[in-house]
Amino acid sequence: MALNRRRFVQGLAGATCIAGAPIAAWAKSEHASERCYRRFAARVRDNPALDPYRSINVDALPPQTMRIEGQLPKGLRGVLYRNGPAGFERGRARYQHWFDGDGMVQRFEISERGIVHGGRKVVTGKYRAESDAGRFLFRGSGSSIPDAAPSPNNDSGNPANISVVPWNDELLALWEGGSAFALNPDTLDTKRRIVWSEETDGMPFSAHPVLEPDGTMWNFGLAQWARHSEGQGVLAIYRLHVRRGLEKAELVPLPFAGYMHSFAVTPRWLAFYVAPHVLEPKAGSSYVDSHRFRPTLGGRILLVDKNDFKNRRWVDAPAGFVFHFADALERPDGEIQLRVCWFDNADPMQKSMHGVMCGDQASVDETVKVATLRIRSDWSRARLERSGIEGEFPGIDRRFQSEGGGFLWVTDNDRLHVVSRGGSARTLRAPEGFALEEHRFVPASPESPEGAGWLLGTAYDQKQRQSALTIFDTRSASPEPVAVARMERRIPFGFHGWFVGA
Amino acid sequence: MLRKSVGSTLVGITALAMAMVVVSPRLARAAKLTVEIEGLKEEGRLMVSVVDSADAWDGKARPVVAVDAKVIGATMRMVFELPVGALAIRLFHDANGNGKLDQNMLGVPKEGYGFSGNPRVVGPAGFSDAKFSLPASGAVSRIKVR
Repeated sequence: MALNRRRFVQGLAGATCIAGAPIAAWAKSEHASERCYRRFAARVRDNPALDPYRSINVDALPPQTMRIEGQLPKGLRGVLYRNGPAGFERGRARYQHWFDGDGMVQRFEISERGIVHGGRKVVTGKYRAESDAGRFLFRGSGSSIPDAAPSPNNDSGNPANISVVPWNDELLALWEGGSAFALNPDTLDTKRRIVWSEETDGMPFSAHPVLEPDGTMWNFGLAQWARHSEGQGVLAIYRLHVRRGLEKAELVPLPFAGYMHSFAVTPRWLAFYVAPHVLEPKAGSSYVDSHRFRPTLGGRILLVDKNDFKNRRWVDAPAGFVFHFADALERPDGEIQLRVCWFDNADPMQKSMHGVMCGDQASVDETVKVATLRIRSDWSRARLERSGIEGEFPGIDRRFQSEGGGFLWVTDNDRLHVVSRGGSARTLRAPEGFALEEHRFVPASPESPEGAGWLLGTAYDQKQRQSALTIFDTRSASPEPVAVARMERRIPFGFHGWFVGA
Repeated sequence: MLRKSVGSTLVGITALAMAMVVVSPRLARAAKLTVEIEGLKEEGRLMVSVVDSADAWDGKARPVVAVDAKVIGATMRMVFELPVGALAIRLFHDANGNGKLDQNMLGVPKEGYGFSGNPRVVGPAGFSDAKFSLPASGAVSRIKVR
């Protein structure tokens, strides 16, 4: 998820000199969260690269009309929703891991009148309890806080901060370690915690469900402390339907603790990559820090038959780390190809985020490339083919999802790399100083060819020190955005969004 | 109002705000254990069991004592006469009164629960996480319901 890795590493290196690290010595007794708060506060002022990690300490950002440079495309009407960690601080305690911030959903309404932005925190049980208490109560998945209360279940620390997906007439705010929350898509008010069934109440539910045109939603949840699991991972697999709700839920034991953030589907299979993680929890260590990356174990690909969750295939795969799948393709000869954003190790989850949250320079080697895992038709093993394309936050034209292997793009700092079906690639560029976030694709019309339309997403302009929305036209000969919308305020980097057409 | 399953003696059970009456028959090598339970919602029943071994913790042997009591306050106090030595307490709040700790299919509780020592463990606590020693002079165990 560290999409701006190189950019903020560069920015931080410079800023350390400029700021001269004006940080007083601190008492040994200072809690890690307080030290983090103080260090970040001292360094963010002179370092625009840290701006996107500033905490938003209010419940909501009132609607504000954005200033548009360029031409807002006439056919582009609807709402872009984005979710991400935003509440990083309470009192003088600051989370030490980016993933822990309380989720805030941003809403960009695009109409004839322009673009209006507003945002609202997701009011989870955690958020409500901590707001009432005026301090953090529960440890984050990668952060410690003073006097943490024990976490009785998965939802006690649920910040609902990773993604959103429209479901019936509501918007679901999704984490991955616990329940989804239903929001009003117009006001962003939190309506309730979702309980799909008694048996699945409070279970992990990933932020990357896959929706199919017939109303089916596939999703999974990764649990690492299930009953009798002895520290091994347990994968919960869900099939839901937009009208009928939860139709099926089943548990699959994993060969090790693993880590999974997303998956992909072919017409027949659900495809997962299980990263070679084991858990070695130590007293006082966080969930994230309890993971040990063990490349010698090798990775595993798990294929689960959509029609029969008991029909599964385990395939040996290279060791690495994957947050995001783009898609999956099953060829006529039986070979399955999974397109992913591939890391050679798990540093992006385990190391990078601590540094930047506390104003330090990250020092990890973190190259992420678009790659294809090719699974032989006899299921014996999978081969990794790296492309030369660097980037994260992959997306596809979902109208062609079932075909796989088509139009794809990734975000790479101030650029979007776009690959067409057939493999030709081009690069779109944001204005200088922009750090682009995930972009979503909107077809120019329902009948437009694959990949013909707009890519829109949020960005941070480090020169102006304000947040923006960038809109690219994939049909344009120019690599520049057709429109940039600016807001007179800053919002933190988010994770994932969804565009709902008008 | 309450059931006691096996062994030893439950001497008293009160809401903490109420006056507590303890009648303590002196048993050989027994000591008084006061268990204070905090964070209850005033509904349903409270199930408390005290064990003296890992086997009993895992359900392979009988607990020293097991109590099923109506919840009569946000904080409750129970006083036991128990054999001195290694013990561990676990409890759950059967808020809907169906006689069991409701769990999802992963085994994660949906109702309140707690252990002696309030161990900060991820996942289910074991006997060693909750174990303490009851001395002849007696002890107080304060348990926060999660």
